[in-house]
Amino acid sequence: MKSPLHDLFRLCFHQEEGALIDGQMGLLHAASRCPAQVGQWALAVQTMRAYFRLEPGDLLLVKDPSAGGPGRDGMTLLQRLHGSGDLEIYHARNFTAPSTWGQRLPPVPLRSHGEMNQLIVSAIGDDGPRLLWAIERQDEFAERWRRGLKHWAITVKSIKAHLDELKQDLKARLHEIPEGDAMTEGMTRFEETLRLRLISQDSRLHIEANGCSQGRKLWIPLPAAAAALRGAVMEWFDWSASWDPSLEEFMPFRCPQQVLLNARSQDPCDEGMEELPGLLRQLVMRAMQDLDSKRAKEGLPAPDMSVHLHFSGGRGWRMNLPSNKALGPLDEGIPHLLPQVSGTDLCLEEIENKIPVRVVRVGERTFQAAPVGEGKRHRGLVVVVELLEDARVRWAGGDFARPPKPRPQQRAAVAGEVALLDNEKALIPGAFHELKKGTRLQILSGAHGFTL
Amino acid sequence: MQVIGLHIEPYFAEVCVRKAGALQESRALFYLPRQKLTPSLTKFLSELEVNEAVVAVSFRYLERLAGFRLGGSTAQVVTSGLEQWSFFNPGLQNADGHVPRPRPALCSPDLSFGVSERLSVSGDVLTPLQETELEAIADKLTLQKAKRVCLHFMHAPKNTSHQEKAAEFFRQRGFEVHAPVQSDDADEVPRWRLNTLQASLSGTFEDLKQEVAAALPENLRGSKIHFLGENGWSEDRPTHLALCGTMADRLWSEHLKKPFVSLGLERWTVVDPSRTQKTWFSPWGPIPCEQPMREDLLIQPGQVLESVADFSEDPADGGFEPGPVCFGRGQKLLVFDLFGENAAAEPSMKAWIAESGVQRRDDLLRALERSRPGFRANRTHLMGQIRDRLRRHVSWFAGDTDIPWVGPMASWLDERSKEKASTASLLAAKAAKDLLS
Repeated sequence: MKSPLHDLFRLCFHQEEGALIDGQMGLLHAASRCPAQVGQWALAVQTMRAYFRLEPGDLLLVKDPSAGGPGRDGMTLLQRLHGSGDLEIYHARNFTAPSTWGQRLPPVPLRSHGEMNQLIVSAIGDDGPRLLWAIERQDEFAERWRRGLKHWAITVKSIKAHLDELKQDLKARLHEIPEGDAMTEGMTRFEETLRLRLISQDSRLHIEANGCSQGRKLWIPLPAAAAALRGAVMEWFDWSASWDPSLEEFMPFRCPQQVLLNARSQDPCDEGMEELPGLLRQLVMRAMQDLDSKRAKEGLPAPDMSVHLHFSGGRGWRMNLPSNKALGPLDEGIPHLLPQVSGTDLCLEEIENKIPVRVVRVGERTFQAAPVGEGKRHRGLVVVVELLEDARVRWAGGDFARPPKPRPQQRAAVAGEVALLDNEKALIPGAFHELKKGTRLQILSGAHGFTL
Repeated sequence: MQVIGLHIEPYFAEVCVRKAGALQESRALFYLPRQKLTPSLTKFLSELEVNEAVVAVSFRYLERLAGFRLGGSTAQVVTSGLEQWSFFNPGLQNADGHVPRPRPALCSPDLSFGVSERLSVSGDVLTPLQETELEAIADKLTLQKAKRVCLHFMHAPKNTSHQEKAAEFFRQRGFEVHAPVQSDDADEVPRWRLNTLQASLSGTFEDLKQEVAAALPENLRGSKIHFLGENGWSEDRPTHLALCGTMADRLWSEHLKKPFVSLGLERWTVVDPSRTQKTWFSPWGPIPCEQPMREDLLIQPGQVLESVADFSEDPADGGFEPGPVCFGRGQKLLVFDLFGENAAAEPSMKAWIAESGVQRRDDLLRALERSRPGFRANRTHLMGQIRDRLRRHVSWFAGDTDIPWVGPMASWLDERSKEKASTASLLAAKAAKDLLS
C-alpha cells in the first residue's frame, strides 16, 4: 500500500508542470513529461541554498547553466515551499523567454519579502506578462501544496517514509535486471562522441560515462548529467519520477573530469542543455534494452526539437516539436499532440499575429523506417513558414544515437530537420542562419527508432 | 400538464415525472447497457398514465463516444496547406492524472480538403476563394457519401466573406454546413475543434432525439421535447453539443448556490459555483467554456478497486461496460462494487444486482486480501477509506468540510446527506419554471 502522499502529488500536479526537489538535491516528484532540465533544477536548489536566504513565498530566477539554469532563452523559477532542518522542499518550473536569448543573467531573487523585482520583469521585455502568469501558477502551486499538507496531515516523517518505500521499490526492480554489462555510444551534431556503460551487479546499476570533446561545443554540468541518466533508468522501469540522494548507492555514476559533460563550452550561449540530456536518455534506453532482453521496449527516443526565429525589434518566436515518441501511439493513424510536451503550441493565427511569417503548410511527416509491409510507419510533423521579413534562425535537437552494432530488426532514430524549401538546403543545427524575406522554411520533427 | 425530466449519462439515465407546481414526483433509473432507453422509458411512462406533458432533456450521453473515432461522414474544408494538420485531434488526456492517454481523433483525415483561399492577419483578402475548387470538393464529398462539412479558414473571424460564400455553396449542394461560432479567441484550434465536435456529434444527437421521441407513449407523441444546452432550451440541436455535458453541474450549482460534491453513479466531482473556470477539460480535449469550477475526485466509481486501494497515480478505469461485478457482468472489481448492497436496497436499482455477482465480488475481495499485504477485504473498512480520501480531497478543493453531498450515491457514502433531489428532478423543476410559465 502506498501512502496518501501520492494523492497529494496527483492533485498538486494536476494540469501543472515542474518538480519538487528536496534540500539534498533529491527529486521528490516531477510532473509527467517533465523536461530533461530536471537535473538542472537540483543544481539550482544547491545555488539557492548556498547563496540566497529566501523564505517561503520568495522566488529565485536562475538562467545561467553553471548555477542551475537552462541557459539560452530558458529560465528556472524556484521557490522554497517547505521547512528547514530535517527536510526542505523546493518547487521548480521552467520558463521560456525568447526575448532573452543569449543574455547572461546571474541568479537573482525575483520576489523577496513579497516585493517583486520590477527591474527584472521589465528586462524580460515582451515576455514579462507571461512571466507574471508563471509566477501566479507558482503561487497557486504553493497554496495547493500547503493546503494539501494540512488536509492530508502529512508530516516530515511520512515524506521520509515515502522515500524509504521508493528506495525499496528501486532495489527490487534493479534486482530483476540480469547481471552483466552493456555499452552504447552516440554522437552529437558536432561529432563529439559520448560513450555509456551500464554494469548490473549485486542489485546495483553502475553508470559510467566517457567520451571525447574535440571542439567542446556542448556541455552540461555533471550533476545534471547524472540526474538525466538516472532519470532515464527510472523511466525505463516505468517508475514514478522520484529520487532520493540515498538511492545513489544503488545507481552509482562515474564520469572522468573534463570530458564532454563537464567541459565548458567555448560559446557561452550555446550550452547543451537541450541536446545532451536527450542524447544521454537515448543511450540509457539503448543500453538497458541490451542489458535486459526480457523487457521489450519500443525503440530509441528521438529528442524534441526547437526552432528559434528572431526578427528585428526583438520579436522572437520559439517553436518546439515533440519527437515521435511524444506524438503517441501510431495505430490510430494520426499523431497525438500533447500541448504540454515542450510547450508545443501550434496556434497558427497567433503566430502570424506575433511575427511576420505566413504559415504555408502544416501536415504529417511520414517515415517508412522498415521495408514496406514489415514495419510500422512513423509519423511526425511538418511545418512550412514563409518569412515576410528578414530573420535569424537557429534550431536544435538534431542529436540522435545509432546502435553501434544494429541488429537487422533495429532502426535508429530519425532526427528532426530544418531546411529551406525552395532549394532543399538543410540548415546546420546549432548555428545562426541569416535568412531573407520570402524564404520558405521547412521544419520537420523527429521520430524514434523501434524494434519489430 | 406534467413535466418529464430526463437526464441521460453515458451508461445510466434517470427520469422524473412531476406535475407543474406539485411537490410529489415519480422517478426511475435505467442502466443503459442492459435496459434500452426506448422500451424502458415507454413502460415507465405508460404505467404512470401521463396524458399531457413537456419533455425536458439534459444529457452527457454523447461523452460515451469519447472512446471512438468520430465523424465518419464529417468532412473538413480548410485553408490550403492545412488539410493534413490534425487540429481536430484531441491530444493526449492529461487532465485527471499523470499518465497521458491517447484518444481517438475526432474525424477522419481522409475527408479533409484544402482550398486555396487566404486572408491576412488583418482580414484582407490575399487569395480569393474560387468556386470551381469548391465544386471539385463537393463532387468528391458526394462520392464519399459525406453529409456534413466543417469550414475552417484562417483569420475568418476578421473577415467572414470566404466562410459565408463557401457555406452558401455547400448548403445549396445539400450538405449540412458547420462554421465556427465567432469568438474573440485568438487560438483557432479550440474554435475549430468545437466546430468539428458539433458536426461529428450531431448524427448521434439526432439518433438520441429520435430515441427519446419514440419512447413517448402514443398519447404523448405530440409533446414538445426541449434540450438543455449552453444557451438555454432548444427544441432543435443545441449550439454546442459537446458543452451539454456540463449542464448537470450547472443545474446543481444554480440549485445549491454553494460548493457541493456530486456523487453520481458513474462520476464523482466537487463543484464550487462561487469560482469559475474558463476551460472544460472534456474527453475530447480542452474546450473554452465558462462554467463553475469543478474537479473530478481522486476516486471514481468506475475505477478498478485494486488500483484505488494501492493509491495508484493513474488508477485503471474499469468503466461500466460490461459493468460492475455485482451486476453479474464485469470481471474487474470496481469501486462501485463495494456499494452493491446499497444499490440492492434502492427499488429502482434492485433489479440490476445479481446474487451470483455479489458472491463473486466477495470472492475477489478475499483473493485480493490474500495477495496484497495491507489490504482488508472488509467492505465497511474500504468504504470508510474511500470516504476519508474523498473528504480530504473535497476539503482541500473547497477549503471547507461541511458541504453537501448530492447524487444517488451520496447517502451510501455519507449518512448525513440530506439532499434527495436528482438531476432529473432539478431538470423537471427548471423546465416547469422556464417552459410552462
